[in-house]
Amino acid sequence: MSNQNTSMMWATLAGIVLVAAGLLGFLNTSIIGSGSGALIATDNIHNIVHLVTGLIALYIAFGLKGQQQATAVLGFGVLYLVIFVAVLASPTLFGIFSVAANAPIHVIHIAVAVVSLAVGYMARGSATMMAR
Amino acid sequence: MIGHGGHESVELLAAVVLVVGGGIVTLRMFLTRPRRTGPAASSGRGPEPGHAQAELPSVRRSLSVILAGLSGGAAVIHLAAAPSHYVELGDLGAGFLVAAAFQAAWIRWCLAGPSRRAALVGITGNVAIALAWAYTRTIGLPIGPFAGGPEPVGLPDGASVAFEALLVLGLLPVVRKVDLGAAHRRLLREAASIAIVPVVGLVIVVTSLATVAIAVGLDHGADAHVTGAHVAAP
Repeated sequence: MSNQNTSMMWATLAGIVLVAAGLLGFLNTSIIGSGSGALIATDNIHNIVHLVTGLIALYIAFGLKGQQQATAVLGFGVLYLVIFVAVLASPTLFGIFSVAANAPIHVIHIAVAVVSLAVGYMARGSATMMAR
Repeated sequence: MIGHGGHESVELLAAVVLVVGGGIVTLRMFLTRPRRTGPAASSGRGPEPGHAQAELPSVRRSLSVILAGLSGGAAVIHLAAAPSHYVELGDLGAGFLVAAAFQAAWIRWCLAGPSRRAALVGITGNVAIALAWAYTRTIGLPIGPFAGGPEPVGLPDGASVAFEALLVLGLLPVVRKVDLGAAHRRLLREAASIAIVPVVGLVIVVTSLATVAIAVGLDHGADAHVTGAHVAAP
């Protein structure tokens, strides 16, 4: 499996998990939702963020190739780094979220950010060397 | 519902999938990355710019995608806000449709490669739209639910005007004829290509939230909704 396929695999995994988290949030289950006992505390606004960014990740996985895909994965990492810092600074995102983000949410944000940055960086290096 | 023990056992479930999956992907990628061989590796030199950048879009291309994203976000917000403003303001609400149409049409002009003429039209149009917004937020319109006074700033209009301000800032280098295609701007080229996803991604996220806010009648902010000052679209 080449590094390009690995970056596609990561974008697919992140996209599926984020879209699933976004959709599950609307169901308001005990795992994810706005309930007080929910494992991953979200509200509809937060669900939309997960859903939209998940769709972006899936577009990166299946709509882009080569260097463009690697660069986009890196950019996706930057996007989630911004989201992580913003939600860490204000768990309600300055009043936009009605439910404050909890620890698992922060872990999801930083995991997506760090892995995307690492995978994108390495995939860019591979694509560059292949171009030569 | 699951019990407390179950709650603890499934804690961090989604996070674990991403952390473990991400760890495996990163490790696999690190182990299978191609090793650099030959003179470039031994000398410690980086890849040659000509080859390394071959697949990267130019700064101008990246900039045009980012600017198109900003214009698209503002257009969607204006389009979503049009129905409720027709109810509030009558024919004056057509301004939202005109703004949306202008910003949507400008995307195609921008993606064709933002010429100086396209940039000037983009700046003029978006500054005019932003000034109209500023008028309603400082002096106020003589008609509508906030007649005679300034309207409160909400997420949708705040986001839209932020997109327009960034769009105008991004067009300034084009108007000033800054050479965006210069070969020595390698770092700028890389930064611009990486910036596409975070900037356009944030525009898509904020536009989605703004559209939802309009749909639930919060386009003038929560306070206006609570006091009943805003007339929601039917």
